[in-house]
Amino acid sequence: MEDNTAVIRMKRDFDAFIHGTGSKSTPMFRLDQSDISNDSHLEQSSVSSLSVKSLLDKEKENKSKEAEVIALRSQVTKLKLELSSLQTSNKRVKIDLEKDCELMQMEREQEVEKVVEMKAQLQYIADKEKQTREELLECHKELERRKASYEEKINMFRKEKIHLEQELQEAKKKAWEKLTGVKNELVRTTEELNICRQELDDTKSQLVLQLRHSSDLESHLKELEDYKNKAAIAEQKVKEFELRISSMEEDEKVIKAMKSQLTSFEELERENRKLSVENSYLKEIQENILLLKEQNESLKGKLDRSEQRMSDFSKLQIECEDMKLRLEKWENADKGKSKVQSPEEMSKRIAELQRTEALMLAKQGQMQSSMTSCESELRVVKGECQDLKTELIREKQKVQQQADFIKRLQKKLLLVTKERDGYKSIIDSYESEVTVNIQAGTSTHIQQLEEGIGGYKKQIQFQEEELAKSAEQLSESRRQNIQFEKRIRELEQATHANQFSQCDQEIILQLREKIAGLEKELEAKEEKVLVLEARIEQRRLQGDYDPTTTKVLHFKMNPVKIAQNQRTEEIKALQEENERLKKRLQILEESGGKVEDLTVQVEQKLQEPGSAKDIEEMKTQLNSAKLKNERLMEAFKKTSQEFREVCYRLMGYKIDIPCTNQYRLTSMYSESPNHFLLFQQSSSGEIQMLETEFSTSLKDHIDMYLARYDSIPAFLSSVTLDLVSRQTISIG
Amino acid sequence: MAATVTQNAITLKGSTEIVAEFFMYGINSILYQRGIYPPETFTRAQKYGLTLLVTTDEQLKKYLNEVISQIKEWLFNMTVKKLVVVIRSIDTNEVLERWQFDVECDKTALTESKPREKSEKEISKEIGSVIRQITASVTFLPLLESACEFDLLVYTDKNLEVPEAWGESGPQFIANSEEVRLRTFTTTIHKVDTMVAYKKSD
Repeated sequence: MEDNTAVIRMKRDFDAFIHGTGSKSTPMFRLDQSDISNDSHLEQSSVSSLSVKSLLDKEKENKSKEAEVIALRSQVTKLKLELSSLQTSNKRVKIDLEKDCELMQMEREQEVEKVVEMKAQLQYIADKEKQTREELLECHKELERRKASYEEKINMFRKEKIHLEQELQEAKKKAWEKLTGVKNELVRTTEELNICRQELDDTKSQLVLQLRHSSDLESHLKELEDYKNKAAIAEQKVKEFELRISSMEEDEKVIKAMKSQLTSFEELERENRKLSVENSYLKEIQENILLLKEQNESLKGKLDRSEQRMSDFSKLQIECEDMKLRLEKWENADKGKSKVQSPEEMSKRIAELQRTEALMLAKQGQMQSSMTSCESELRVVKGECQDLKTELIREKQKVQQQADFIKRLQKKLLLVTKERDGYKSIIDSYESEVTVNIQAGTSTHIQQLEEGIGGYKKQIQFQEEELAKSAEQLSESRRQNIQFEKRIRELEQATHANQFSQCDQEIILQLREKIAGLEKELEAKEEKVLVLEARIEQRRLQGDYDPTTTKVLHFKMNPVKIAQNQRTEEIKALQEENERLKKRLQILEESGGKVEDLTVQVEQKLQEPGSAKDIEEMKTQLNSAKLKNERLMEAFKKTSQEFREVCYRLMGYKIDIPCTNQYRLTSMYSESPNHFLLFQQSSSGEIQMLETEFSTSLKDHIDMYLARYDSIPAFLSSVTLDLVSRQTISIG
Repeated sequence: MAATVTQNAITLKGSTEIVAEFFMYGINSILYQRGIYPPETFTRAQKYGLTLLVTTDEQLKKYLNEVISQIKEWLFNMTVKKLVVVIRSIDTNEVLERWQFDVECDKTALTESKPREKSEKEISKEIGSVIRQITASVTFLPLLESACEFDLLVYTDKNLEVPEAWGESGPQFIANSEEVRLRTFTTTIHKVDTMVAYKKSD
């Protein structure tokens, strides 16, 4: 009962839902409510009855009810689904409606706009109409004006026409006159022609006769020519025979000669054999000769060398003899001692002699120096001697003077002693006579006198001593004098001896100087030699060598070379690696450090013309290739241009290629550029003509040459001829 | 070798063998002492009463054997004048040291077949002293700072035909060198002077 009402209610709700959107949720709600109320009702019933039967019944009821409830629920869900589908469809319908409505509105607006536009156009058209009317009026006016001008022109033309017609009539008259003249001439010429024809007939008959004659003559001529040919052939044959005969004669001569030669041939053969034997022998000899020549050359060389040696030898002999002589001299020179046995001894002896000589020379030098010193001494001594002599003379004079003086003094002394004696006697007499005082006086006086005498005595003694001294001096100087004289004599003897050996001494001096110089030189040279030897030694130590006699070899694949090769390879490998790593770095930098398949990319990059060098190389290659290409293209263009030009000139057709396998031919004489022919080359190489505007006008030619003869060149030439003839006509 | 050299007499062939052997050991010693090849590639060998070091590097051995066998031929012909071990820097390609073995050949031995009188013991003693000097020369030679390689130059007669594997070379002088002469030994047929020239250290 509730179910029925529920269905109805639902229907009503649905209707209500369809009609108004506002009460959408309420029916749903109601439905739920009804369900809930249903459940509560069930619970209430279960609580009220507690017996088993009733429980079972109730359970059954419950179950049935549950089944119903489930059925109802399923219905409800179905209905819900339907509801939702209906809702969606309703929505769709609504949206459609709204859309339609919008469209309608849009259309209406557009139409309104259109109406406005149309109005504007209408106005514009009306304006234009006005303008056109005005223009029309103006045009009418102009037309009238023009009409008037044209009428005037027409009048002018009419006048001209009349004038021209008059001229024409005159011309016609003239033409008529000419025509009559010409007709007369024609008649005359026809008559002449007739006469000529008659003549022609005559001449024709004559000609026939002549022809016959000529044919006869020709036949004659042919015969003659045949004869001539035959004659020529015969002559040739004759000549040949003559030649043969002459050759035969020659041959005969030759044969005779040959026969004679044949007779001599055997001899010749024999000779030949002999000669061949001889030849072989000679060949051997020649070889021998060659050998001998070589030997000879070597011997010559040897001879030269030996001659040189001989000359050297003779020189050496001479030297030897010289040396022998010298040796003898030397040996003889040393007769006093035992004969010199060997040069060593000799040299030893010489060395000894030289030494002794040197010693002697040294002694001599000493002697000389002593001599010079002696001479100087001698001179001094001589001077001294002279001095001493003069002194001696002076001393002698002095001594004489002294002696005289002494004599005088003795005489005086004697006188004085006499006087003294006299005085003593006087004094004695006085003493005897005089007193003591006087005696004292006299004694003092005597004493004084005695003292004086003593002084005199002393003086005498002194004088005597002096005399003795001077005498001694004199004797000494005399002795010295004698000594000096002796020495002078000695020295004089020595100087004599010096004079004798002066030449030798000079020589010796010179030699000594020379020896000294040479010794110095020798020392210098020895020093140089030592230096040079040291240098040579050093150079040798450094590994120097004489390139004229020595060369330096080494094993080609020595360790140094191997190491260097390895090194270069290593460097190369490192450079490659470096390059790769650089690229790697570059890739890493470019991609910010996140790269997959880095090594693969690096390889790719290396494979690519990555390095600048490669790029440059490629560029240069490209450039060169481009240049080549351009040049080729230019040359090709030039030649093709020339070729096309020549073709155009020769064939009369310009050939263009509008698209592949199609050829457009335009004639040199074509009347318009649209007059061209089209040909197509098929894949099999056949050429077909395509229809063009121009080709349709050449039906005759096509039939004639293409259809019948299947010859395109003939067709083309016929077209050319046709066009040429047309052009010439138009020019004429 | 022992077959050709009897106790107290030396033939040309024996002399050649002795000198070639000396070259072999001398070059090996130089290469070891101057550190041209790493020391671990050398092995010890008893010779001339000394413990010498000989290379085990196969490539080097092959090279030395090839060169020495050729030199033997030239020693036998007496066309060799000098053998030079040139030590070069790989980096600068500059010659730093030259070990020069001057060979004086007694050419009368070519015509005379009579063996010379000299005991093998005496010769090996002389050679031993030369090699000892080579070993000792490390004390005065400047240190080879950069990596070096060596080359063997052979001074021969001008008119000698050059074998295929060989080529002519320059003498490879040292620009500014100091020289030291080492001992000499002789087999009475070949006399070998040893000397070393090295670049003066600035």
